[in-house]
Amino acid sequence: METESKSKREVAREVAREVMPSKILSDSNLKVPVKRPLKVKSLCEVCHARKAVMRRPKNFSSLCKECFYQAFETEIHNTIVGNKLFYSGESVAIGASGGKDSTVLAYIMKILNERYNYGLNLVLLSIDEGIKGYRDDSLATVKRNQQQYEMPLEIVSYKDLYSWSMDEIVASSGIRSSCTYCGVLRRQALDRGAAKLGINHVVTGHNADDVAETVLMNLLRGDTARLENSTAIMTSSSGSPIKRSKPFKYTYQKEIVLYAHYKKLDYFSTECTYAPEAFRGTARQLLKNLEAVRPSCIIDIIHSGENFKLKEKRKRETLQYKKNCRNVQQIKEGNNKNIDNPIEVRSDGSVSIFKGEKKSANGFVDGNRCEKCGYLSSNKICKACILLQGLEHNRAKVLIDTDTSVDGAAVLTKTLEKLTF
Amino acid sequence: MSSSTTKAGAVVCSRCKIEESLLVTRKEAFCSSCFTKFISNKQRKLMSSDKFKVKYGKQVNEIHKVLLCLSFGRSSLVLLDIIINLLKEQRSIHRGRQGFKLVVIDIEFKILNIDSFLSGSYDFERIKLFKDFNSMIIKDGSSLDEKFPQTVQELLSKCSSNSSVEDLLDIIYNELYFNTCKSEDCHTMIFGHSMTKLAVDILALTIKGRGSLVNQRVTDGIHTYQKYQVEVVHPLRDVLDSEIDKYLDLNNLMQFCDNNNDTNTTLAIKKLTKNMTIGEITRRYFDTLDKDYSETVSTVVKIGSKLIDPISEKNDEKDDNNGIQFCKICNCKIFKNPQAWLNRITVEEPFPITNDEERAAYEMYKEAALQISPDNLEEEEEEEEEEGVPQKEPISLCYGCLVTIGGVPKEGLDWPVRNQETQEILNEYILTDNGSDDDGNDDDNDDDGGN
Repeated sequence: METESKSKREVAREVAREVMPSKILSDSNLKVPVKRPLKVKSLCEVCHARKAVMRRPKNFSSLCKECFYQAFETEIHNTIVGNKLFYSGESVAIGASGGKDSTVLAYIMKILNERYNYGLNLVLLSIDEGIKGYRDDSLATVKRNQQQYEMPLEIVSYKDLYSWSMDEIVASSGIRSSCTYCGVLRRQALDRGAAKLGINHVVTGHNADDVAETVLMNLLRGDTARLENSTAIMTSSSGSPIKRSKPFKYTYQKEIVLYAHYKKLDYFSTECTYAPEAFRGTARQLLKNLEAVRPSCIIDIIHSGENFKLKEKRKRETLQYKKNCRNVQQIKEGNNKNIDNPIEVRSDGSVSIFKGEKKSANGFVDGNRCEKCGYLSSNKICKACILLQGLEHNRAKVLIDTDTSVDGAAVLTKTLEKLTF
Repeated sequence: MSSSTTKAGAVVCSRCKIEESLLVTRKEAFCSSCFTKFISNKQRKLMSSDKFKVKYGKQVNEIHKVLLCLSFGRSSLVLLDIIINLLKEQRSIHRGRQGFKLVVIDIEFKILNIDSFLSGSYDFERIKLFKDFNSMIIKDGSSLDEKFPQTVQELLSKCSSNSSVEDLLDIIYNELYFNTCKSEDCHTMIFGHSMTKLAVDILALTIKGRGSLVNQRVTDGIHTYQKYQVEVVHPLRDVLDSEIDKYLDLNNLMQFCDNNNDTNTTLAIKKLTKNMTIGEITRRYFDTLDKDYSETVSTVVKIGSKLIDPISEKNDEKDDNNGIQFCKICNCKIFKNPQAWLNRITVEEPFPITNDEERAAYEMYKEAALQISPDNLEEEEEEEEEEGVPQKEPISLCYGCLVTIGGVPKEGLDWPVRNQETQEILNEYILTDNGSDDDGNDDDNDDDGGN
């Protein structure tokens, strides 16, 4: 039976060879021996001319590679143009970690820049957090990307900037708060790296999933200062020359993975070895469950996020009589110089220098600077400085030479991987 | 906080200092009666305005009517119990007088049948969603009456996903509540939503893309329904689900609880995630949150109640309806044009055909498609088949409904559309005039799509 059917198929193939133009034969017929009427169904839903090879995560339509590339690239192009992210001749730093998002971002930026003549000067900017066994490998990927895409690369390390590597921080403060430190420090490091290069614009690979997750997180944490702007595609502040933007704001993570897969892009796919923030983890799981039920929920959440508007906070003004009382008291004490703008002396003996900044309705001060490092901060002292201060406090006074105990879990995994029995 | 103990060693209620405490909530020990009072006071605090108080003198006849939306779920039952006790107390103290008249509405079981949503002053229209996110009312020549679903169940059975069913049901309930409120002439409507339920609602609305509705659904205040003003109050907005359960236990109310309506943890765990609705998943999320994050529920409710209506997009393109449009399904305000938003971020254009092989395949597709069903090409070749296509009329849908309808199969959804009042009929006519412009544009879009 088997031989018979095989021979039948062979006959059919021979007939086809005679009838069909040679091109089709060489391409598809040998690989996929599908009958004609079936093939109509397996055609791409958009162009109806090529074989569909994938299902688009966004709307479940089956597409051919070309239509997917076209949709993926054009959607990002539309986002960039629609939001006027760049101007011609601008220098842009691409925050590159070597992971899939930033690798695809670097690739897309390069081809869109060439295709649509953005006139951008692209630079790769990487942060070396100092996680042995993880970051050094992913940085190697970035270095390969640098050569593949022919872009200059700048690496800024935590160790140089803050004199702490992530491994040391985790060794000192424990694994639970690792993401808090890393996140705060990275934000600043990216800005400083860009400033070092004289670039005012950093693009990051944050995708739609990340943005949706942020919207949920801001809701769950009740973060009024960030809720309204959690979906902003571009963030800039009057106080900082460096703006950030997310061209992948509307791009599904799954589509980025597919794109990288089909384009055979070279990326590093290991997760960071330090535990993700526990609470964010729950939000991420929630999002995953929701996506299984309704794939569009990621875009839906972004849509909701764009429509969030908070009530104006009522100003709580000091009652006039209270002010008068205070002034009277100060005059009595013989210091009537600085009644209107008093200088605060803090517990550590430092004195506030910056004052008279205008507060917005939410109590958020735009363009306020950290009094310690001069970096942008909504508080008097920026989060990074507070965290670093805490770390310095706990830093061991004596160090052992060639100490490897600070090396994190990644190194251990690496060593274990290499073991043979 | 000091906690003293009785001689027997049991903890004494921190409120009355006499009775033995039965439970601890918010770090305080309560006896049964003090706990009941504690929960009732939450209601009284939120309904403390004069209109709920017993009136004397001139105002005696100005009896205020309050509509209680009862689902026989846990929290609405607690609310009913509290309100009944309040009224009893008012009658005993004030010699038979009470501050307000209570109307209880229970959809589906006693007062209102859920199918009553379909009767009444509604016209059915078939709403269909197109590839370019345009939604239209389809008026095909065939006698629509036969196809009309007879019950809400049948209407909902057309939805492909449980979440869409949940969403539409939610719209139906809401519509019925307000409708009854108007017909019963009630000026206040109270819901039994607990703090947990409100948090779930806020999150679920966000996830459904209805972020702009959060403020309207969750905050207390005056709501306008068809020019009728209703004050909506959630008297149990400060009560946690665990406290609701304890109240039911202590007052032996569990027996009245409708199990079908039960959305507690056990139900959530039983189901597979894939079969759950968005509401159920969100509920489970809050149920399974660790104790470390117990304040999340109140945080979400707090930030939810701080939200206001978003600033609506300026309608530069076409000023269809002076100002804001309303969704034809859920009747909410549309602040931003959802079609334009979606079209901006979606590309459906095909990659051009590059070689003969592909052209051959496309020709083959066209032939096959025409043979199988001419309708298939409807979208691509609008002009050729103009006469065969059923009459369409563009309507406005909000983003949330757009997404929900997206889960409904091809033929569209039969949905009752409100009859317009006389003045609105005029607007309607003007709208259709502009609508013909719309039609033209849509055809253009379709052409682009078809290539």
